Amino acid sequence: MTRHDPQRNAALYLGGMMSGRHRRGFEKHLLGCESCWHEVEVGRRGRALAESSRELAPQRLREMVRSTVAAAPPLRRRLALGARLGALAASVTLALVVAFFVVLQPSQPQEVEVLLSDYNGAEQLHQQTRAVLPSVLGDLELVEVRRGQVEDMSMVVHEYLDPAGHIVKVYQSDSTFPVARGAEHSASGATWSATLDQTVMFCADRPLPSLVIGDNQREVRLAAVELGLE
Amino acid sequence: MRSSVHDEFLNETLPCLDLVYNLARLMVRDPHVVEDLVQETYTRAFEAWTSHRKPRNVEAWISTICLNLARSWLRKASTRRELPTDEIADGGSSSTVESEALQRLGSDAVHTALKELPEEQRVAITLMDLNGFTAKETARITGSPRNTVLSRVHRGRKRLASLLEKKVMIDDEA
Repeated sequence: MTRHDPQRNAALYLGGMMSGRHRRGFEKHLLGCESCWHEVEVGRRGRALAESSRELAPQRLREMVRSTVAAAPPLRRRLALGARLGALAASVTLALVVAFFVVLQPSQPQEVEVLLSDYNGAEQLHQQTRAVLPSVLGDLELVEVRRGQVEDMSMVVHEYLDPAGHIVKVYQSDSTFPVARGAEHSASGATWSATLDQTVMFCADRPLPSLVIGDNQREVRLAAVELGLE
Repeated sequence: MRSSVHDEFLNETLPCLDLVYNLARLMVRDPHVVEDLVQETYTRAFEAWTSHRKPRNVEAWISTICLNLARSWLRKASTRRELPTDEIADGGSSSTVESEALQRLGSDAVHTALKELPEEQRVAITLMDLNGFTAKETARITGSPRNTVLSRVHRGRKRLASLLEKKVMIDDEA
């Protein structure tokens, strides 16, 4: 254990989040530490109480759910009736939107374009390097660290993967990242976020200029929070 | 008329009914609203099932739907001022009361005490202790960092134990 925080340690211990070595160390520590012993004891008691309030759903509710679902038409079938008109309308709308973005919208800053391309698999940062960020951020696990140069910015990217296969990349540099076109700033103005073609970006200047990119809003937020960027 | 889609959906999701029910009844007070919430969860889940890919983790997926619907309902209810806001102080728990005394409490008392917890703690406890999700799964369902989930669960358990100890003492005095 690196620091004595009875509440945190008890929460990790009871949550099964300690590795075998840490767990054994903590169990030894428990025997001689009144405050940790108390935290674990009261946490266990609360857990047992909560577990005791578990109930089975009433049979009547089970039947109601069966009936409700049985009466519900599958969504695909309901949509099938208007599918052709819907598809036509969607195609026209999509064409107009694409035309608008292609013709009227200015392109992204070069750095953002390069990083989006890197995120999408066309690696722009080639050199392997050592990790400086945690190997785990929530349920994201670090899989690779690279560094390189993008325009005038030298940067490091930490690539994380969650159990569902979502990739989140955290780019960090000594210089401030240019703001993506269409980005929305937070109320404080300290951060911005943008969504481009289903790719989510979150950027903050503190504690270090960082740009988090992912294909899942929740995972991007999670990484940002874990890194203290919000 | 039931099709194979209905059967497939019910086979995969009905085993989660107890889980959804426990989540719903700890989010809202009115038993009728609990039933509505559970049915609405299954209706929404069925719509999603027939229009998207099948979820990898059915339990976590249907819990997320239920939780989002419950939160939406709570938001609407609070704007209608239908809910009492019964926040309580986060007091520490004394361990002077014997655990046997707590066992005298019925599950109704525990259920009532659970409902007195702040929503975030109640949700975390319901998902982890009542429904058996891991901290990692609970973090995904609630969209919160894992350490935050663990902290909420721990504080919630302490508060729950404290509330029930106080109730035992009051009952004994009476």
